Amino acid sequence: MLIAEHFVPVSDENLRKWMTEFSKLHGIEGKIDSIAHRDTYVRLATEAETKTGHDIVFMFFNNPQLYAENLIDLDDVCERVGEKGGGWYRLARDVGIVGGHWKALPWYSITMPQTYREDLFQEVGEGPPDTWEDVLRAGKKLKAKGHLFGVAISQTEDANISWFALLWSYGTSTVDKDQKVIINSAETRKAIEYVKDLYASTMSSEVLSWDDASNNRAYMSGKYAWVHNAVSIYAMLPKNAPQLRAVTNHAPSPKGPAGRHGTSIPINYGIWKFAKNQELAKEFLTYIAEEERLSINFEATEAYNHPLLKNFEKHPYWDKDPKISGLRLYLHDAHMIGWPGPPNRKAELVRAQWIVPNMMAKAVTGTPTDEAIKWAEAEIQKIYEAKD
Amino acid sequence: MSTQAVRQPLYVVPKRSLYVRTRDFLEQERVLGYLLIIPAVVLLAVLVAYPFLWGVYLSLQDKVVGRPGSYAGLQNFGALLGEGIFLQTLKNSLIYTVTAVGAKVVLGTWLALIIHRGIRRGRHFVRGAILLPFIVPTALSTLAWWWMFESLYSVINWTIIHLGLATEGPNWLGDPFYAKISVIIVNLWRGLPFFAITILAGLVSIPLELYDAAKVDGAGPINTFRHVTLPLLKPVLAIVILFSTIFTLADFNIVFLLTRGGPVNSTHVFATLANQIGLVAGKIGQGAAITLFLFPILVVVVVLQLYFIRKEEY
Repeated sequence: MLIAEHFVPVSDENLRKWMTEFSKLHGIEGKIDSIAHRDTYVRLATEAETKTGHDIVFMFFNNPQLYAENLIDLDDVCERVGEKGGGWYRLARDVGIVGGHWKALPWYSITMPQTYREDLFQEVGEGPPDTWEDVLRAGKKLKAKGHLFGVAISQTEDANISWFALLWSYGTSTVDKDQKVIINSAETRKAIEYVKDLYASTMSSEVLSWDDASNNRAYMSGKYAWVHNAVSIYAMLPKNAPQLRAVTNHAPSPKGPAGRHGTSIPINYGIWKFAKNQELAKEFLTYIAEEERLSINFEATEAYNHPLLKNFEKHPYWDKDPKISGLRLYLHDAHMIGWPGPPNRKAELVRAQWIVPNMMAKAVTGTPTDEAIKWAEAEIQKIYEAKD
Repeated sequence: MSTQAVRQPLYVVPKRSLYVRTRDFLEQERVLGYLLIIPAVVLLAVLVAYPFLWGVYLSLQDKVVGRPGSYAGLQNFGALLGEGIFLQTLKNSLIYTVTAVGAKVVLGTWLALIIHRGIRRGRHFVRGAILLPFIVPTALSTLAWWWMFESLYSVINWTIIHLGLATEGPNWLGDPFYAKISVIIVNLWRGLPFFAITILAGLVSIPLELYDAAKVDGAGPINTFRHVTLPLLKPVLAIVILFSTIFTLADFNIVFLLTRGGPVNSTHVFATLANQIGLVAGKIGQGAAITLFLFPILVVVVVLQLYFIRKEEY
């Protein structure tokens, strides 16, 4: 089995423990290999082309859509898991079903809320930020006191995740549901003007070189008062910066003029058609998708591993920690990158080429807004007009 | 009855054993020569020729990962010429290569001259020590540089600020200009030993009598370098520039680990863009076309360089 290294290591530890248990039960020698998440794309491409490699593979974002022809059907596994779990969110079906068949098991989705210093916000008379305007107002006050806000404006996954969420909350996107390019709009202009203001008034130029771990490091250094990041920060604070745990809180992804929208970051597992142990692999996926085990990781990662099953909305863990409870309904308003268009290879190309983060980077570093939008529009049009 | 005497042979050739016949066969230069290069040819064929030909095949297909493709001719190459990101990558690669190789030529020659003439004690130690950047695995050394350039914990910026040189250090990896400087610095740091040691080998082979003669003729250091050292170093310089140009144009590790081609595609080189398009996004035909784009130009460069080297030798 190939997995990506988790930002909250306990999830991987549990997975390895379950592989050991499963292997003992079935008298086999199961093995888990882990690599960095950004290296999984190359690994998947290599295995798909050479038809050799692991049985079960980690698939980020909409990779199941890209590799559907190389994966076996998992209808029996996924429908059973969905039935037992109170039904799948629409999101899970969007990413996992291709051509009417489940091609990957969505094991969980990463929630991407606001992580902020409650104490510093209170010092400047601000409550939990609910809208992007709240973020900007609080950010201006806190930068004046030497505390920064941060969202990656660079060629990294977090930048795609955050800026797509912002575009959607301003009522715009890269394409519409018919894959017509709509980025060049008044709503996009408003969104970019907001981002320019947010960057100039609340951030430092450091964010232009951030990678996916930078917001974690930045927040834990104590220099930053607000980031848009998964609960991995909160989960790792006891180890890395225990003094910040008590003063850290979360709020759902901010609301904009067109409502609250977040980006779904589904972690899926598929089984290659060339896998030698397909039945055992399916049984293992069923094993780790049992509600009991999903629940263990859900609690151990402090809701970072948010299963895409509706039963988890009622999970008692949400009420255990008030700093997490506000994220219970995150998946209701979350979408795949490329929404409202389908999560296909074209959406993947837009994501992989960092078009939206680079549009933001151009705008905040001096390129006129219209020019930045026209650049993005031209790049996206080339992708969506090309043959699939 | 025959009266013809049986002619006895003057000399009887003894029948040679299989071992002797095999040994004699193998000792023929044209046989032994080919036999000795067969392992190298097989390795080159499997590890170089086959991937290259497969890459050419992929570049002519509209292939995506995991699916068979169909013949598309030069469509992938044509499409690249209309891609803004690709044209920027082409520009980045040329700037990166020309600047890094140029700096390595100048600094490598300077370092070689210092080691050759300027260091008496510990020369052998210095020769060994300067090779360290070249032999440390690129991924490790680049990660160390990344830490030194990283915006939050940069030791370079900390030093600049604490020396009072500025209130804020440069945004090494977040500003397009400084990001280009960063990748060039790491490439220079890593490649300089290769230049220095190779040029040093060339310097050592220049007869000392020529320097004595130049001294007798009243030539100072600059004229000696211009009229004695440099002309005799040209063949060595040509070889080392050729190799370095090819390695630098094909660089992947340094750019991928430092900047991933950012910010805003300002440091993308062919290999990193090919990775992004061909493997991450799955458009492997287009990815192959990106990596092969410079191949015709490089062939011309190599032919011209080798012609120049041969001309200098004769």
